[in-house]
Amino acid sequence: MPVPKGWLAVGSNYTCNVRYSDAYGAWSPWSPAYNLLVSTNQAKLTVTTPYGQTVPAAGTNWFDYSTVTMRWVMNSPVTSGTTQYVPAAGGPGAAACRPAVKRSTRGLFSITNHSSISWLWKTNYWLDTATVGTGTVNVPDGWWPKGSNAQITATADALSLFTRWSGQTNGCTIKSNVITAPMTSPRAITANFMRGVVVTAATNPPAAGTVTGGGVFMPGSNKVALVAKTNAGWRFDKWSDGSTNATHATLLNLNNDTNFVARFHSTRHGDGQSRSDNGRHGDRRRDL
Amino acid sequence: MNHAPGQPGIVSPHGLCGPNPLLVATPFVDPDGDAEGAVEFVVRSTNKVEVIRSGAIEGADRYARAQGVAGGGEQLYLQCPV
Repeated sequence: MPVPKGWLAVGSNYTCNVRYSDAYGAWSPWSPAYNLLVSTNQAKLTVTTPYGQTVPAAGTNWFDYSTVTMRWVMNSPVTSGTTQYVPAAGGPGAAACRPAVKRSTRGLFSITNHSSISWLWKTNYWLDTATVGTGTVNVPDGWWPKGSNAQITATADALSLFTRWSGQTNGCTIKSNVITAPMTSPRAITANFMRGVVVTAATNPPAAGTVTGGGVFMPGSNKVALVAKTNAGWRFDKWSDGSTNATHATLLNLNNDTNFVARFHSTRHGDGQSRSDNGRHGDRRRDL
Repeated sequence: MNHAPGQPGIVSPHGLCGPNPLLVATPFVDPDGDAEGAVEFVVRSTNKVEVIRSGAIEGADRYARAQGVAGGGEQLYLQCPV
């Protein structure tokens, strides 16, 4: 059916121009031609999203022009195993949505033109941290943004030693008990600890001197050396295992917890009594 | 000497529109500071046939002028047959 002059036809293209005149009848130049396509009485809203369910739904939706105020919502986050998808800060990007809309995962807008919404998502990966043996890690299980770096520190308990990292450590930077894991994928990382050999050292009497070199060592370690330092008025006597060097010989192949006691004698003249270990280890006369 | 107003443009709608579009022109600008005298819209089909000329078409239901809204430009309502 032909459209009478003065009317527009749905589905047709037009060009428009406008000009002004002033109060004295002088006309401006015509505006540049402006294209106009008269569409149906509904506006098309195209929704795209790689994940989740949205309202309006992904795909093509039709709404009456200007008459519909829509609320968009979406279910999020979307979790697939150890990967999670959440709307990127604000959901639809302003540039991807016409007309411009609030950057939100929920909102209202009136459709006045053919429009599109592209939902943007960001990805999180699950980081599973665990321990074997007695110790702790400072990062709990959780979601990490794709591309971030998770730095985990392992701390052994008083009787243990950190030994190694295991699990999905490919691409990670390891510096002893600290691992930095780039979250390019889900990861499960385990800090391994083992019971150490505890070497304790004491002095007898306690005020006679000090001993250094004790601690927790790897079983079979051969790098343990104890050093007894004598306070004034005392003289080193011997170790509890009979060794008489103040610097104890390197201990080899330690496999059991061991306690060493450095025994001292008083050097004060006229003191007829030993001041060590309740007198069980002799007096000055015996040492002389 | 009187100067003509500045060349206007059309700011809305953006290409696609519904069956009852509202043409909105940029605001009137005159280098002499003269008041606006008139506005004229022309709509042509793709084959250059003039469909609507606001100054020639009679009937207030076909178009309406309004000032002071949508940025101050003149407006023209167009209409499709029911």
